[in-house]
Amino acid sequence: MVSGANDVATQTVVNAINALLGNYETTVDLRVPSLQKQGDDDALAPAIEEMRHGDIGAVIVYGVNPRIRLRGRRRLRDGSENVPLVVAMTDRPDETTEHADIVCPDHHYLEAWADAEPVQGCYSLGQPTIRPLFDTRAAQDSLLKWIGATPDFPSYLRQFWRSEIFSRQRRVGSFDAFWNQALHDGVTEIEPPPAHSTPLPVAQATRADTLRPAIRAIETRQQAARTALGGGRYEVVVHETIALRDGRHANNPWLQELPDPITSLTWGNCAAIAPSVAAALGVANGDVISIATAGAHVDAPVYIQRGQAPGCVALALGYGRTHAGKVGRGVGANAFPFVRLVDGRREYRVLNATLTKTGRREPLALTQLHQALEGRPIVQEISLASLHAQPVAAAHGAELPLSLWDESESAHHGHLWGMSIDLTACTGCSACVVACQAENNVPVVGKDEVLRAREMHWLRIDRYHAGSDDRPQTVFQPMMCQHCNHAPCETVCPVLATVHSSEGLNQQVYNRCIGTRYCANNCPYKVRRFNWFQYANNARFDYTMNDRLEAMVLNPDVVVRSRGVMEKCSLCTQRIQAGKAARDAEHRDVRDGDIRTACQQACPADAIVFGDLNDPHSRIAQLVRDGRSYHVLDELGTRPNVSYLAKVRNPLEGSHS
Amino acid sequence: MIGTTASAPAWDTHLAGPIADDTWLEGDLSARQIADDIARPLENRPTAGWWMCLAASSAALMLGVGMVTYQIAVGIGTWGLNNAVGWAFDITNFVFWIGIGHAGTLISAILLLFRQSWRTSVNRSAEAMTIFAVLCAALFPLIHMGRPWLAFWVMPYPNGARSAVGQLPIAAPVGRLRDQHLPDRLRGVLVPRHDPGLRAAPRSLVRHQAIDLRRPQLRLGRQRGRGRGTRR
Repeated sequence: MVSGANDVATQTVVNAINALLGNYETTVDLRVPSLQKQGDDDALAPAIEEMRHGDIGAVIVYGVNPRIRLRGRRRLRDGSENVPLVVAMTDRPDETTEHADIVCPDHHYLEAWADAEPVQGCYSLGQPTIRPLFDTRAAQDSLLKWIGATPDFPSYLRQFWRSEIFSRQRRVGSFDAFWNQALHDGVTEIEPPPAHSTPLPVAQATRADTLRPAIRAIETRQQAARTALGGGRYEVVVHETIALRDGRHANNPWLQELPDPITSLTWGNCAAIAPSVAAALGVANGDVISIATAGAHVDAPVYIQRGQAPGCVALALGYGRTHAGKVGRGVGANAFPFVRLVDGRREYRVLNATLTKTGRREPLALTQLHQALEGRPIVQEISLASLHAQPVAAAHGAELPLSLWDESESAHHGHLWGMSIDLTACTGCSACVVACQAENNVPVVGKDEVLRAREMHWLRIDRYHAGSDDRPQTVFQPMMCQHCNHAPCETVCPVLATVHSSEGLNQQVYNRCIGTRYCANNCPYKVRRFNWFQYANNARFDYTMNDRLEAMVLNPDVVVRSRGVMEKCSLCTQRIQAGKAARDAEHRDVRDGDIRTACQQACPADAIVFGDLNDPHSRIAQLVRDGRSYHVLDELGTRPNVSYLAKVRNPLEGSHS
Repeated sequence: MIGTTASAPAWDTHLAGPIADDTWLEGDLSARQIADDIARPLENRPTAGWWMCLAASSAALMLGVGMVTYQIAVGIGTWGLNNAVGWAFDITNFVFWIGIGHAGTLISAILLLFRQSWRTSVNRSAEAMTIFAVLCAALFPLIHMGRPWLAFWVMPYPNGARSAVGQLPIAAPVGRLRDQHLPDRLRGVLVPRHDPGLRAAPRSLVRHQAIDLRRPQLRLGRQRGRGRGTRR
């Protein structure tokens, strides 16, 4: 059990529950904590006070943006004005550099040496992949110079690794070998030291004198919340989104255009309210409401979110940046005013908020407007019980309609590339969407074009809600070109710009395409994307392809499409070619797992598997034989090479969810 | 002119009898007066109303030409289409004009089938309407393309790459000639002489193959002593 709250009472109770359930040493591993987020709220408030009193001579800001992150910015401003010297070290201008006395431009992380310890015992090295483009200096080099140390940062880093990390391992004898291996792998793991403390005894975790006050504190707060809510008063909960996090990625066009998995919103944030609240306020999606609390007030467009608690408004952080760069400036509303320091800890929820309709409208750039499956078997589910009894999804091995094609002609004798996507594993995190965009030079089109339903993502995550408005079930389904063996798009192209390869790929030949869009009209999966404009070298689309600096994100193995041509998922054909070239160079067959698509590589849940369907021993061939495997819209007779594994649910007996 | 209309052509007389009948003309008009009445629109200067109508329709045409020019210059995104709605303005107009054309054909055909002797003038306008409506309709498949300057690619001219008549056995051998019988000196100019990809990383080999699809494969096949390198 994980405590999502930043509050001692809740964490004490969660800890006790974990101890009672015996989770320590089974699911809670104290020896390898995640170190990905570190900070000390307790030290922050006194530091600001000291700054206000003029007790601090200089502040060096590195890797954070306190001007946007901290509420009570006035106090911070007062504080920083009493600091004689504020030095900001960052690789890009932001709100903090605006008010710094000295800005020391840092390298971009791809230009710099770095190391990290994301999980205890797991050390990672970052080495420059490119010579610095601008006149910058690594922040670490600056610090070393200022303290008068002689070595530059790369030598310092190497020395640190020799003394601190190399010395703690026994596998490799020579430091040079150890260093080269770590540099090659990018990561090295050191066996964590044996646990110093015995696991937290249940008795200690559930001691009445600590637990009882914690429970009482929670109860008091619940009581306060109950009396504070209702009668037109709401609770505001602010949260990070998967794309922009706290706003640090606000200037990344890929992430601005990444649809939120739940709302499918791009380019902005929204006040998510329950359908009943929307009815009471008389607002629809896109109507701007004013959210006011005692100390803050923010205007944001409404999104009616099924499953949202009726007394609660949710608003994402990371938007409304004033100095984020040309992409992120002024996108959405800044929710940080709602973040308060309570007892020295940051509180991400505020009670006693009032909502008022402003009468303005701000259209929401949503990529999916319909939420129901309407009874169609597109996402298949199977309960755990029935999976044990008869592990076959409803659509598995469905009777195919009559084929008009000569099947012997379309049989594939060499490779038959295919993909399998496990809907049980997919959480909708959308890492695959960004990976695909990066790998395949998929253009970013901006808010206006997303509002016109012209987003270019080759891979999208379809999200469906089912059940009641109060407690909907939600499923995610990654959807891309299904590489049909009887592809409806191929039969209608007047210039044969989309054809079937001998290895089962549905290929798009950009050079041949004249842009009739017949294929997209005929595609039942609606996965084809059209270049409505010239997206590259066009000032109207100043995101990733307009100038030479931006164009450095482009993949040299994939062509940038011109306007007027159709495009879609190619199953990373350039990676398939590379895999086959490796085969040719090494005089062997393509091994299963050699070729991985970008989405597969990015998937943290390993939900996506790519491989050769004609190889009976490949992982994908085994997955396709699984009873959970089915094809979407199989009843149309498209015979896709992409298959899905039905989502397994384990519903409680008698519960409706 | 009056002489030709007064006596019907010989091939038509058995169908409907004489066209000019006393009851068709009221009053005592001379042949010249009749001719003047009929020819007045053609022989007089256009009236102010006519000029206004011409100006209005020319303005509409210019607006259309300007808009389509802008669309071809900027992209089909200037229309309100999207990922799910690939055709709208274009197919609606296409079907509209085809429908107008059908109407003209239908009017003409029905009048012919029912042997209406007075159909000639109606048929002329109806058939003219059909021709111009079909021309208008033909415009839309052309301008709806993402790359209308390549519209001729839908024509089944022989070029070896495409289906229909394109499969004529001319273009492919020419292409092979170019690939195989290119003098070595020229080949060195057009494609790299050596195959760095074979010794370099697979990625480079892929890029190399993108330049010249055929040669590295042949080289591979020769290296390995069998033809598997051509399976691609």
